[in-house]
Amino acid sequence: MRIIISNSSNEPIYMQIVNQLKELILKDELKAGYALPSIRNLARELQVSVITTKRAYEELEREGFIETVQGKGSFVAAHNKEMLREKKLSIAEEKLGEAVLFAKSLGLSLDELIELLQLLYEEEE
Amino acid sequence: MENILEVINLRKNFNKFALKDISFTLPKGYIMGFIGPNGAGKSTTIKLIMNLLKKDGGQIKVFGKDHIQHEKEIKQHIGFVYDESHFYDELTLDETKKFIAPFYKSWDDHVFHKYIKIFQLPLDKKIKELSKGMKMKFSLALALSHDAKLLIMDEPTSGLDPIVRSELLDILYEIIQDEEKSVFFSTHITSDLEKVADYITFIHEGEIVLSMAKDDILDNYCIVKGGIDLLDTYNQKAFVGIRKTQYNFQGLIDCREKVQNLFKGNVIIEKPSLEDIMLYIVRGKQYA
Amino acid sequence: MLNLILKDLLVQKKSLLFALGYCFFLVFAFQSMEGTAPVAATIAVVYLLIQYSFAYDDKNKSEIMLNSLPISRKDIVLAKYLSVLLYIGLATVAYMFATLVIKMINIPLKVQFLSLQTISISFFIVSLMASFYLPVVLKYGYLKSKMFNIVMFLLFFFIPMGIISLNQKPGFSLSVNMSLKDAISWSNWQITLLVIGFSLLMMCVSCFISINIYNNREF
Repeated sequence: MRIIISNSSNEPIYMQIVNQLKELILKDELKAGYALPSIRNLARELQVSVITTKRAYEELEREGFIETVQGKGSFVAAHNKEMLREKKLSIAEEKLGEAVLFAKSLGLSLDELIELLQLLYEEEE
Repeated sequence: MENILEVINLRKNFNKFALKDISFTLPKGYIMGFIGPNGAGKSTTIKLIMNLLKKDGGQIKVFGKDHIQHEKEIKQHIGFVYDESHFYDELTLDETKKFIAPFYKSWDDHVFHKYIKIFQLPLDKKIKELSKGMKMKFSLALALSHDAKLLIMDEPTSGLDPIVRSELLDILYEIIQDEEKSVFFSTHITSDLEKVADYITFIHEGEIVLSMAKDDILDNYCIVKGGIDLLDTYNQKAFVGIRKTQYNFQGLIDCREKVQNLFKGNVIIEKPSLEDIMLYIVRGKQYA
Repeated sequence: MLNLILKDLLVQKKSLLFALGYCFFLVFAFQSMEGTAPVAATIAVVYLLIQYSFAYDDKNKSEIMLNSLPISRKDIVLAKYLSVLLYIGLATVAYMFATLVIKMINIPLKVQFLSLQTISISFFIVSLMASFYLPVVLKYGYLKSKMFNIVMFLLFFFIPMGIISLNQKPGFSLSVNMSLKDAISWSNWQITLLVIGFSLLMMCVSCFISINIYNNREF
């Protein structure tokens, strides 16, 4: 579990924790059932206040990424495969969208872009 | 949420200074930083809580109980660390411990020796032979060895080097791993609290300026910087405190949302530190 | 409470040795003034120990620490009064020790031994002194009561000494002693008990006042 907190970022610290944990869960680095550290332990490890980690966990719980069992701690929620896929798809969409926007600003045509994408896709295989 | 410490309309009058009906609460399991410039009333408040001073009005409840009616019982569960040690210079650490320990019903010698080991304190030395940092650690060791539910610290880091101060922060994290324990920590060195504090209570000239979750404070306030030509009499009023030079200004605004309306994105917005907030509020009031 | 008393002894363990040395000195210094040495020694030693116990509290500002501990203020005051009784005991023992040593090694001095009379006189004077001093020092602290302290020492040390030595002058002494004894025709024991009883009563009243004062003290 890797979380890096930046004090100079304009994003509130609890949101930094939320976003990074979400990413780890979506990438499947943190699998369903994984026991997260207690809010107090995480606060110590990240050198942030207990309220901050508490807020982060509450947010993640609200969005269904983690579950908290009274007296036992917090765990990565066992999500629906479909939902997970959808969430991942929306990330892919978002990133592609950024790429399209950037390509447009360079004056690339759709065909050129598709060609480029094909090249990259095949390279990965 | 259960409150460990409640201060309600606390008043104390001195000749040249008064604590003016201050109120704040510390919930169980959290760390509250009590900040303010020197002479703002931090020590007075702590002495009132410990009944070292007599209040002129208001109420103090510790663990939900009146702090005078249940004084002895409450103090069984308070650990205190003051800016000076106040132990007898002439006694050794071991003698001091033997004197203090019997007053506490839940004194635990194992815990005490654990901390003595961690802090590397020489039990056979006299208090006067200790450095300031070691005295603070010794106070802390005593404060932590009787299962205190509330740790009250009055300027524990004043006069200490950054290394000892950072060690203290690590210990505070250690302490609050136990959800039953709370810490009330006064300091004028706000950077000590930037990380660890859950709540911040800011006192200035005997009045509470703000008392809320640190994250809320840091998320709400922002530093705004821009060219001096952007300022007019209207938008200047929005600042809690402002510093102007010939070319530019920088100031503190207490609501992020206001900035967009006032300056339409022509300014730089930065995250403030607790120190920024303290400085602008104190100075802002001076020039107002 | 026992702890508070022991602590006062522990912080001034050096003065305890000094007190013993002082007893030797007084046996020597007061040998020409009949009947005064044991009284002077007791008063001086008790005075010294009371002073030091408050001086150490003050120097370290330890009352802030003591009053932050789960101890009632009443106990802190009581401990100081009980300490006075303990100091009287210590002073008596120290004086006895000093006289015995001098006697045993046959130093040619006119040693004045403790008597029932000297014990009761010193007990009375020390109690009177403590009864006045403790409420003041418990209200104002050691430093602020320094002036009072000096005046008090002069009053309680030299005046009684003067009276006693005057008392020892043949005609005067006999007349006072005799008339007292005749008037109430009590034994020495009875007079001693009366004096000690009265002294304790005085201390109790003083203690009661001190507790009230200390309860309102601010640090």
